[in-house]
Amino acid sequence: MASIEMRNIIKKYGDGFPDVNYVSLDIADGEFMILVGPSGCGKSTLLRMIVGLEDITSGDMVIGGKRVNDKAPRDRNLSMVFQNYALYPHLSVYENIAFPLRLHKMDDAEVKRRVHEAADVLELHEHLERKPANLSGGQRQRVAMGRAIVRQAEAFLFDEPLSNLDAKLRGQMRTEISRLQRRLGITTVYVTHDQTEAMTLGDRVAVLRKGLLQQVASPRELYEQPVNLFVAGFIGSPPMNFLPATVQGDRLDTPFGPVTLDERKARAVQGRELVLMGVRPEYFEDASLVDPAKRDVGSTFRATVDVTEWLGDSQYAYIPFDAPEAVANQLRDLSRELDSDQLRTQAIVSIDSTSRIREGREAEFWIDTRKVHCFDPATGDNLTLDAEAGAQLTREAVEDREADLAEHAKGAGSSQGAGAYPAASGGTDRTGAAGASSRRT
Amino acid sequence: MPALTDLRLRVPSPELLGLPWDKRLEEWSADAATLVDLQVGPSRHEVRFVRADGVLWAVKQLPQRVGAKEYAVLRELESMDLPAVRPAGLALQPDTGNALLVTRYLTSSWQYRRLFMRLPPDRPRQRARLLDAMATLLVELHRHGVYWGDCSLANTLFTRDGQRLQAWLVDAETSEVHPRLSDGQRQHDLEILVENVAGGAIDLAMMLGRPPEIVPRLIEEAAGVAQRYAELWDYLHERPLFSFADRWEVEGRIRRLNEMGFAVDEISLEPAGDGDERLRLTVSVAGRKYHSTTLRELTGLDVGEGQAQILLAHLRAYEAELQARSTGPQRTTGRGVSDVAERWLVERLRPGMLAAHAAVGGVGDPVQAYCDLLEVRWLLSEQAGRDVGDDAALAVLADRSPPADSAAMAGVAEVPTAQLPRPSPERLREPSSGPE
Repeated sequence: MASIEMRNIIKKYGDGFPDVNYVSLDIADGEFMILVGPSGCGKSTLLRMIVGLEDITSGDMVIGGKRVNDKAPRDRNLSMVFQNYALYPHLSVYENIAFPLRLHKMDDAEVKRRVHEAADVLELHEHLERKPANLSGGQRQRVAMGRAIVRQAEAFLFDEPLSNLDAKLRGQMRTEISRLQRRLGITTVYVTHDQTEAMTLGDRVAVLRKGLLQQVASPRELYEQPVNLFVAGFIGSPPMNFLPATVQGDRLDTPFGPVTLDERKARAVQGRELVLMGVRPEYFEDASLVDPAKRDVGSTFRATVDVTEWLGDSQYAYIPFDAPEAVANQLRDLSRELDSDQLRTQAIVSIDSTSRIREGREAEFWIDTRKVHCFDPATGDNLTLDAEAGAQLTREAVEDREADLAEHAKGAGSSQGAGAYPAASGGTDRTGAAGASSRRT
Repeated sequence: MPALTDLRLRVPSPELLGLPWDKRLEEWSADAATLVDLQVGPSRHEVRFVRADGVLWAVKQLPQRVGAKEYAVLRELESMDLPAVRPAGLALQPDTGNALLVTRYLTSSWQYRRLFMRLPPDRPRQRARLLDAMATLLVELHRHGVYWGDCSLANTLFTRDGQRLQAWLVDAETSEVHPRLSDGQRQHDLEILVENVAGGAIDLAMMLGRPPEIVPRLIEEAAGVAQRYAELWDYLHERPLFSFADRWEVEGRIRRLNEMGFAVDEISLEPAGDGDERLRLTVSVAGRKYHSTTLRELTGLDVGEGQAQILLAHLRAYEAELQARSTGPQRTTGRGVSDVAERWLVERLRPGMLAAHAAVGGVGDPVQAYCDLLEVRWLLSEQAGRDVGDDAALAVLADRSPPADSAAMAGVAEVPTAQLPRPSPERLREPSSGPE
C-alpha cells in the first residue's frame, strides 16, 4: 500500500486551456479519497494522471514516496477496479479470480495463496468451485473485486464505477466497496459526479471546479463548513438555499424577513451591503412544531407554500421568493454549473412529516439562525466560515478511520469478521439520501 | 406511463418512429414492435432486436448519462468512418432515468462464439485471423484518438472480408475520444484487450469441453495480439532516415503500406539535422482503404478492403491474360484500364459471383462468395498440383467442406442456425488435432 501525493499538478491540452490547474493533494496510506465535481471539473483527468493514462504537463506525482511522472501504467502497480467486471460463465469462481495471475504466468502455489487470501476477505471461500451463475448479484460483484485484490496493487482506483448500473445495484455496490476498503485498508481514489456517493463513501472528499481544487475535507466538514458558494451548493441533497440578504448591523433583511446573526457572524459581514444567506433545508421547521426552548435561537417568518412533498419519513415545502435580477441570474448560473435542475429562487425547506402545512396557504416557519452561512455574492467566498470548527470535524473523521484500520489489522487472520456480508447480499443504501435527488422542483 | 421528453432519430423510418419509446425495454411487446430473437451472449444491459421498415435494429437500455455519452461517442466514430456500429437514435426517459440507444444491426456480422462453435476443434489459424482483426481494429481506433476502455471479444462483432476478418466495435460505453492518445492510454487499452481476449477464449474453450492444455496456448495467442498491435503501430508511425541517394526506398515503404491496405495521404522528407546529412521520412497514413478505393475507381464496386485486395489481384491477372492473348504492337492500344475492368466485370466477376453465391445457398454476400471460390480453387489446385477449375471448387463450397484452415471455412459463421446440422456431443469433443 502507498500514499499518493500530488504537487502543483497541471494538465494542459493542445488548446492551452488547463483541464487541471495547480492541484496539490495528499492522500494518506489507506485513505479513501473521493474526487467529486460536475462534468468538466477535471476529476477524471486527475485520476488518469495518477494511473498514468494521461501525461502530466507539470508538477509531481508521487506514489509510495517515488515520483512516477514518467512511469508507464503497468509500472505504477495500481489497480483500476471494475473497468471490466464481466465474469466468465464457464470458469469457476476460483478461476475467475485467479485469471489475471494466470496471464502473468504466476506459479500455482502463489496463485492459490492469493486467491484464498482474497476469498477470505470477500467471504467467498465456500463458493470457489461454483460457476458465477450460481451466485447472487452481490457475490458476483465480490468475485470481480477479487480479481482486483489478487493483483496486490498499491492502491485501488475507481472511475465512476457505478454510473452504468441501475439504482438498486448501485446501492449494493456502494456498500460492498465501502466494506472492502475498510477491511483491506487499501489506499483508494474514487471519482464520481454524484455527491451522495461522495458523502457516503469517502474519508475525505476533494471538490473540484473547472480544474481547481475548491476544498478537501471530511464529508461533515464540507457539509457544515463549506468554503464557498460552489461547495455549499454542490454538497447536500436537496441543496442549500441561497437567499439575498441586506446587512443592517447584526441583522440580515431577507425575503423571509429579518434574521439576527450572532456576534461572530455579524462581525464577519460588517461593512457589506448585500450578502447571500445560505440555509440548508433541514435548518427550517414548521414553527408550530418547534420546541419552545429552541425557538429563541432562531427567527420565524410567514410565507405562502407553493408545493409540499410528503415522503413518509420526511416532508419538504417549496417556497418561492423574489430576488434582485443580478442575484437571480447568479443563482441560475450556479445551478447550471452544478448540473442541477433546481430552481434557485425557490427555497426548499424540510418540515416534520407530521406538519399540516398545506400547498397554497400561508404558514409560519422557523429558521435555526445558528446554522446559516453568509457568502460574498461577488467572489462566492464563505464570509462566516469557522475554519477551526471545520478542521475539528475532519480530525475526528481521520481518527475514526485510523481506529477502524487498527481494528481490522488486529482482526485480520483470526475470525475474518464472520457475518460482515449478509448471506443474501442485501446491500443497503447507508444514507437513504439517494432518493432525494429525484425530487421534483 | 413515463413521460417522454427527448427522442432523436437519425433515420426517417416511420416504423422506427412508431416504436414504444416511452416504455422500458423489457415492457416492449410483440404488438408494439416486431421483436427478433437473436443470441448475443451476456450483456450488462438489456438489449433487444427489432425489425422496422425491413431493417434490423439493436436497442439497448442503459442509464441516461451513459447512454447519451455512448451515442455521442458512436457518432464521432461514424464521422471518422471507423469500424463501429452506427448509431441510429437515442430516446431519453426522464422518469425511468433510462436511455434507449438504437444502433443499426450490422449485416452478416457474428460473434466469435458462433464461429468457433461451428469450426472443427482447435484451429489456431482461424483464431489468428480473428486476433489479427482485433489488433487492426485497436490500431485504427488509437490512430484516431479513440480509447476503447473495454475491448473484448464479447464487445466486438466480426464480418468476413476476403481472406481476412473485419472487427467492429459494438460497445462504446467506456470509450472516450481524445485529440490524440498518450502512450499510457494505448498501453492500458491494450492490456485490457489482452486480458479480455484471453478470458473470452478460455471461457469458450471450457464451454466446448476442450482439454485444459489448450489454456496456455490461448494465453500465448492473446499476448500475441499486443505484439501484432505493436508491429503495426510502429510501422505506421516510424520515421526512418534515408540518405538522399537511397530515396527509392521510400517507394518500397509506400508499397508495403499499400499492401497492408493503407492509403498514403502525404509523405515528407526533412533533413535529419544535427550534422546528419540523411533525410527523415514522415508518412501521413490515411484510412485502411487503399485497395477498395482503387477498385471503386476502376469498376464502381464498393466492397471491403480485404475483398478488394483479392478482386484487384484477379483483375490484374485477367488484364495480363488479355495482354498475353493479344499479339504484336497493338497489345494495349485501344484498351484502357476501364475497358479491361468492364470486360472483367462482365466476363468473370458477375458470373463467378452468381455461381459461387448459389453454391453456398445464397448465404452471405455474393462478393465474399466469389472470394471464397477463388481461395478454394487455389488451395485445391495447390494440393492437386494442377488447376482444378471452378467446378471442383464450387462443389466443395456447396458441400460446406473447404479446407479447415481456409478463410472460406469461416463462412460457417454466416449460415443461419436453422440450416446447420445439429452438432453431436462427439463432434464438439473431437480431440485436438494439435498445433499446426
